[in-house]
Amino acid sequence: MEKEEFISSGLLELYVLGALSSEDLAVVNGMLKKYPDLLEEVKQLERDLIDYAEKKSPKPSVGLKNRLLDALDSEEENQLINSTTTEESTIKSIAPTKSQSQYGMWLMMAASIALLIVSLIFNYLQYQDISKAKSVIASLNEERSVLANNLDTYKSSFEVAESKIQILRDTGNVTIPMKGVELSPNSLALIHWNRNTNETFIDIASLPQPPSEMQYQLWAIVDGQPVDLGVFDVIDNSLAMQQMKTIGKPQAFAVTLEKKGGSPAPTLEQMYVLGTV
Amino acid sequence: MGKEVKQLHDESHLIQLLKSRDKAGMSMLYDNYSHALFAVINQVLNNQELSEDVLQECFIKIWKKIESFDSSKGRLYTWMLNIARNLSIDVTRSKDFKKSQKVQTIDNTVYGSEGTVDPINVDTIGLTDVVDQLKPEYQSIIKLIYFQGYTQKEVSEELDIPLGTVKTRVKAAIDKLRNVISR
Repeated sequence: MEKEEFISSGLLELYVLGALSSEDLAVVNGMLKKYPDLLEEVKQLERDLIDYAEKKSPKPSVGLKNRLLDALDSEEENQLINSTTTEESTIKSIAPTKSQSQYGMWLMMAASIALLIVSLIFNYLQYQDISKAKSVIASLNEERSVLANNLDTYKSSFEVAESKIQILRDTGNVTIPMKGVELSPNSLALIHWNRNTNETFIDIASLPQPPSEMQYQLWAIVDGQPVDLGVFDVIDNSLAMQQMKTIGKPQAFAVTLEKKGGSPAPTLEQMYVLGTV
Repeated sequence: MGKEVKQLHDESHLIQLLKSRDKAGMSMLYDNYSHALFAVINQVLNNQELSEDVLQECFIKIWKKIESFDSSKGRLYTWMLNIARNLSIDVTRSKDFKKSQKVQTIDNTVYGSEGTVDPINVDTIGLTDVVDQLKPEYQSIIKLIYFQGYTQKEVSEELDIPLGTVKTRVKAAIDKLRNVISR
């Protein structure tokens, strides 16, 4: 399109008025590039249209310009405020919405169930530990009582041994073994007699258990006459010495089996052991 | 004098000022274009107070949207014209405006106005008689395109004339306008 033809086409007028189709707009823009001096024509058309409009109408009120500039100022302030408030609201929108709070509820429930399970497992383990500890304590208690019993046993046997040692250590003591005679050749018992105090102890090494209605009786021979030193029992596995009656100047000791409680005179046929001083 | 001011201003400099958020640019823009834009708005709304509100809104929008203006695609005035027309037309579609128009129509009838088809602004009688020397066919095409924002195609449909005739008639109308104004 030639320049003159273009100017007379009316496209420039429609261009300034903003009434062109996009194809025509491209044509005009192309022409304006090709003929930069067309811009003067455009500017003239624009001035004409502005003048025309101005002649059709009164001016806006004088104060409007300042009102507008003030409005722009407050608009900018609002924008600043808005930009901060939108920031705030985005922060606020993080606060729970319905679906979020439901999600939170589920999360909390899941967490509490998990905690419950953990605590149940822990409790179970604790309970197991406790019952284990209880059974340990019970067995320890048992052991302890056994040990206490043993201790008692040892203590008593120690005491026995101690007393025996005291007797044996006493330099005034004389030990007289009483050996088995015909009736019971394997029997043996010892007499510890103290020549200072005349105390007499019998230490049974081996004597058969007497029948239940019978008891052994110890005799001392003094000046050829048997003297009763008391009855005694045979205590199995006991190392204890039994103290008998005191006697002065014995020549011999003998044990006979007598009826329970003892006899005034020894039954010589029932003599089990005999030892001379 | 107004013309001289317009001649002086360098449009690309003005756009630069606006794009750099300089209010001096806004002041200059207002001085150069407020009257014409107000006229366009008031042609549509025919209400001084309401048109001033819309004009203010129009300049605020220009201020906010200036970044999207591309001078390689069109004239600044054309771009602003579109904003002014669109805002005005939006207002005519609002419920409040439709109500007030009804009242105005009744008022006009009561006070014996010549009708509501082309309401005349009393303040502009002295000026309008100049431009009214234009032939009615020129006036109607200018009104549709300039003040109501019709496209070439829409005018052709509205006035039932060929597209080519729209172009030539617009050109003829503006040529006439130029003569009338420069007189």
